[in-house]
Amino acid sequence: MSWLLRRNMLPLHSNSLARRPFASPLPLPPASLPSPRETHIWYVVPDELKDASLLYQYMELLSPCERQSVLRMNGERLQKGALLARALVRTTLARYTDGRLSPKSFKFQKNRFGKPEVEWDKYDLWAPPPLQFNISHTSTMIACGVTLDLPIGIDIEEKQRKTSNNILSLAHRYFSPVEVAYLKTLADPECRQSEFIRLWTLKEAYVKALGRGFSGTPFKDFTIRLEASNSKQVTGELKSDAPSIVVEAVDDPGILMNRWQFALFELNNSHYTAVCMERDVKNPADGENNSLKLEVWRTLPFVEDECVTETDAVKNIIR
Amino acid sequence: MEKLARQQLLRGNTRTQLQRRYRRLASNGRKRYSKFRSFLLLCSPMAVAAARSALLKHLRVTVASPAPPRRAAPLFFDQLVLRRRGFSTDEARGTFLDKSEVADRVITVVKNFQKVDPSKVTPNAYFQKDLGLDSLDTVEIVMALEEEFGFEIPDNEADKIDSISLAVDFIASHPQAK
Repeated sequence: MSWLLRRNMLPLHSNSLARRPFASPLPLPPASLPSPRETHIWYVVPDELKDASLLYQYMELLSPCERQSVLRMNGERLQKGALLARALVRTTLARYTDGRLSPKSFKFQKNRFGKPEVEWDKYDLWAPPPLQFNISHTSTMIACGVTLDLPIGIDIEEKQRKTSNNILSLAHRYFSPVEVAYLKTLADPECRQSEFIRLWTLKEAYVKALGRGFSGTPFKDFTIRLEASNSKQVTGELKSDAPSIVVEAVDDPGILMNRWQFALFELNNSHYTAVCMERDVKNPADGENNSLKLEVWRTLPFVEDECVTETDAVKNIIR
Repeated sequence: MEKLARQQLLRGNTRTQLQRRYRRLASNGRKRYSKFRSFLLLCSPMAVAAARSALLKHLRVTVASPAPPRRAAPLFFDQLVLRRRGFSTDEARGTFLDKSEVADRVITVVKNFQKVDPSKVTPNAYFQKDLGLDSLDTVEIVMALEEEFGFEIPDNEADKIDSISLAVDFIASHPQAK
């Protein structure tokens, strides 16, 4: 425990320690695997965590390397955020293993561009599900998205976020010409501000799904916009006229990169959230809606989980 | 171990070494010029012109337009000296900024950033783990640094600038930084 004290991370209340001195965590309720076009999102709100002993429990789940990274963060708030992020990833993935893997047993590696992914062990009698995940955090929320074997990127930003620079200067510097033109059509500065943030989350989610980093996929090289949908799908079924989010290369406009599908929505009334997922071509839709499906849970690992998919916590979905 | 450390120190100081070398050359050049000038003053203008063209031919440097020898000579001779040593005037004047000056200016820009706690800004601070900044913040700081130093940082480099010391290294090694 001395390593916690060294960085003066938590106020040590002898009461909380006496009550639950390193009690074994409650088992995580298992979750069913995401279906082919589904993204599962688990989010935690750091301010909801009032019990300091929980932080000790989360710390127990981390690898020594992760603990070092957490303790290297400068300040209690940043340490708590980093700790919760790792705990969220581990507990979320563990839910999908039907009790066979504990959060502590996961190992992680980075792909050649630095994107984190699970390093699965070989088991004799069981094949672990090929889960892919991505996390995003702000100071007031941490979100983890999970899919079955499909690359995913997720990004969240506070709705109230203000930028230091002028929106159009930022857009001119980092966005594509089509996106800048779109932002210019918005006269109201509040509207422009929120559209900028939403577009930013979409672009971040796309870059994170690709997994090549900011320098591998410069923002200026691609456009994300709304495309009016065709009234007939491949199967000949009528679809709703709702526009869909599409991405295209700046050098090749008009050629949509259909491999990727998006969802943009508001989470917990506080955050714009964007999800980008690779389209599952192995399991094409049979006459049903081809767009990205979402299942969302608000969680405080080992304390409570709440499915908020059909509630007010998930609003204004655009796919 | 010592040899390696010395080598690294030398490599790191190459620019400073070059700057020192230039200053030495310039002062040598000035000393030589003052001797040459005192010689020139003793000669007639025609002899001076002849001497000048002889010098030019010897050094094989083309001159844009003939200038009155007395006024043009000072700068001109410095340039000749430097050209012989293989420096262009721009490089010799040093468009590479001094690293400690860059560090001060970078730290000021970062401290002025709204979301940053100035007490946490140290020369070794990392944007994410020390200052708690995310990708949008980093992009804004990169923009602020571009404004401060008057040149554009390419996107494929911006990704790698995730600390103050990396920003300082990058800017100090860029000749376009002002």
